[in-house]
Amino acid sequence: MKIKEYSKEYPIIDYSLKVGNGEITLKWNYKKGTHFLVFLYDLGKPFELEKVVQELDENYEEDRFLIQKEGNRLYTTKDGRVKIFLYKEKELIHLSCSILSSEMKRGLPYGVRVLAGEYQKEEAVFYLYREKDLESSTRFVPIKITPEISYKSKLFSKEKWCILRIPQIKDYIDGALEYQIEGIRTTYPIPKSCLNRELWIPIPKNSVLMIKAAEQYKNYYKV
Amino acid sequence: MEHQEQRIFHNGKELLEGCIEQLNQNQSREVGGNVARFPTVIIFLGEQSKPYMEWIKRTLDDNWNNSRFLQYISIVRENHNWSCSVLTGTKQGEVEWKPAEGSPNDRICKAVVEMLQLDERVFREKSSIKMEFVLDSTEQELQTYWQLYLTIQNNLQAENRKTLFFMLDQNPGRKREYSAENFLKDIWSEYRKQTEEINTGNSFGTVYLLGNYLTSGSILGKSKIWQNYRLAADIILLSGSRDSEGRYTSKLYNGIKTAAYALVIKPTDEIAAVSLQTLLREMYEQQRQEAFSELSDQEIQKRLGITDTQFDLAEQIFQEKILPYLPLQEHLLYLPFRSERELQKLQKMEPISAEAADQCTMGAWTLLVQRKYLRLVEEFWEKEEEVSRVRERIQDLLHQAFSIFELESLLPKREYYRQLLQKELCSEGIYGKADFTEKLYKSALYQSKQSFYKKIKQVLSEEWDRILVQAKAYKERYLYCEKEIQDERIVTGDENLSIEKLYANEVRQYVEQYRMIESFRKNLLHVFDIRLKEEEFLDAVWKIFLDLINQEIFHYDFEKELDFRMNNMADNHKQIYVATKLQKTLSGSIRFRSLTDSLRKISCFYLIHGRANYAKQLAKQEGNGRDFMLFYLNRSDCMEQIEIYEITKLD
Repeated sequence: MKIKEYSKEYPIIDYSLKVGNGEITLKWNYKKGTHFLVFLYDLGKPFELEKVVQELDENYEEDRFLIQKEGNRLYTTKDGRVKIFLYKEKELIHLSCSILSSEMKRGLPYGVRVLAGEYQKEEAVFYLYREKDLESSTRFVPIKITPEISYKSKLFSKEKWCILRIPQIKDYIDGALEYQIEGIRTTYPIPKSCLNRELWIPIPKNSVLMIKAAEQYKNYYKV
Repeated sequence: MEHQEQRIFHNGKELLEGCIEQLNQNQSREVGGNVARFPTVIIFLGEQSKPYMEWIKRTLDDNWNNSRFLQYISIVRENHNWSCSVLTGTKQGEVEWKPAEGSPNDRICKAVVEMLQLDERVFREKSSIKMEFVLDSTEQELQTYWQLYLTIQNNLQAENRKTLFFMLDQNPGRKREYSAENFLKDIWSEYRKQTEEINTGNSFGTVYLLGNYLTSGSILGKSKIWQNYRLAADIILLSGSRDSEGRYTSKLYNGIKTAAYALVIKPTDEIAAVSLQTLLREMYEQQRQEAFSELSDQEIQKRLGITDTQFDLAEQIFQEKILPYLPLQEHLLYLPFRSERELQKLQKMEPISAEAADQCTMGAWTLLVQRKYLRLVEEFWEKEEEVSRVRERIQDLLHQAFSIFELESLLPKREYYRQLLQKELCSEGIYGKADFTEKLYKSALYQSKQSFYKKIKQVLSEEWDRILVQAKAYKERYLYCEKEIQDERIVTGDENLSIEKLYANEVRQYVEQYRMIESFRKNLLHVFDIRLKEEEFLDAVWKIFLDLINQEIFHYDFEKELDFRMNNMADNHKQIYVATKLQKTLSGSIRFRSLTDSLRKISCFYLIHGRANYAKQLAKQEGNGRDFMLFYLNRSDCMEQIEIYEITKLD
């Protein structure tokens, strides 16, 4: 397999992802391409396309064998963090497929990346085309966070207590989640040490507290 | 200062040339009554003489009121064809050569027709046409040009006065493909045919041989060869002016001739060099006295606004760019706590360490400081645009705080001062009873500032190094400029000494007097801005020079300047001085070296401004009108003497 730079002949267009009924459904349009690789990877570690493709290549000696595995899980990387699926073009410019939710580990956010490829029969080589930008080729499956928030008033005070509890999150990164108080511009990053504990936060009496994912991690968590 | 056309100088030599040119331009030229008598075409044959067109044109423009009606044509041989162009004026008042169609003869005829069509008042006599040709002997196709000259005739008028100024290269050291000496034989042969009335169909006219190897042994090099073109222009003036007497002008025509030429000129070159050099020196001294003081460590820090707890500029930028985006002190009330009791514990702590705060907030405090106080500073320094702006502000600070003389004195202890500026910022501390949010806030702010200051001091350090090096380079460049000007001076005798004494003093007085004036001080400061590039520096000096030469002394004509410099010499001594000078210059200045005795002097002319005392004295002399003729120039900065020689034999 060979990776090629982005070509306007091989874009991924109008890519959408939907989670439900125990599976994730992917849909996209395209211009050209004989086969499409779908990379399902957890966001805990950076995704390096070259390394993943190299592993895949080592596993399949010849591309003509690789392309025969259409519709199935093609490969799982040795560390188990990336799963690769192969789909063949069907309807000329549109493709839709589903991946079982069981392919994803619970409590981890995932990225799903789609890249177009062209199998050249004469050369017996599969060419995989990079995307123009992440926005076009990648969608995310964040994990849903359900914080527990309650309030307790303070006597003779302009403030009240907010009691917050966020459940334990696998592979959580310090500051990935923040809390914000209505009317206060500062957001407060939540360290790992605060998970699964009661946090007593004084807030203005007439305010409410919200949880959100920090900008960098908005694809990881959904509150 | 008056508005001047923008000029760009690249080095001291060019600056000096510009100054000389400006001084020459400033010479007053009175509009005299002289005009060109006949329609006159000046034709440059070939490429070699074309660059010197300006020397001829300027002389004619200075002295003939109707000079703008003259025609200038260039004829060049290109790929076996003739290519003509005419001189035209541009909207900006400059002149340029524009290609013109037609054969050389047609072109010349067209030029003549244009002049003949002019109002009667422009040229008094239209029955004759003057065609003045200029040809350099180093042209590749010399023979071809010579033949063209011979064949050109203007058939419109009965009388054509055709003259060829042949710029002869007799430099013995120069190798030539074609020997000009051989060519002289052709000239002689053609002349003989004319005198023997052999009809060749050619028209010889008058040929002036103006060589660069003078009878004195001097050779007119590239810097002096313009004199021959000015001489040619003078001969055109003498032979073509309305007021020229016929019995003298007739001696200027027919045959083969040469000339001896003496030009005594106001020493503008030397005046410019002395004035410019002194100006540079005086400005430097003046500025050094005003803008230098011994600097202590405290003084240096004071000028930069650095104290133990603050660096003013850094603080300013921090307040503008970082502080508004940091969490406020009151926001620290809303940290997360393990319990109500933990909050109370924190409220009672004095002082509050980071570890204690973290214990109460389960690590949220340190994370908040990292993400909301320190990261902002890191992100700021990652933006190239912001770093660039900070750098510029530091540069401005350094330039305003220190003069180049002070910076130069700090250079030897460069490393020491760099360390001095790097010292650690101290915390302001917390005084009195403060609540826990204030304690936490000050701690976070201090960390944020420390991080910010660390980077800004690095930039300060880099800029400090840069400015010290710049100051050194600036001084070297300044002194080198002075040296370049000095190198252009040719100091040979008393005249140089008298110029040096007088003009250096004038410049000193000017600088002394004007340094109190705001506009001058501003311009002076600009000269000493070490950020200036070479061209900008030279331009700044130029502007001050332009103001300097507004002084009356720089506008004196030749005699007045001499008078001034010679400390009010008696009139008769002045006359003797000028006459001696002219004679000395004239002697040995014949523009043709001949192996045999073939030169016969036929006339002598003095070209002088009408109001010059020497002109008045000459006019009263008995020989006036007999031994010599006076021609009144509009220029007042020079005196010229020309002797015309008939060449009786060419060998």
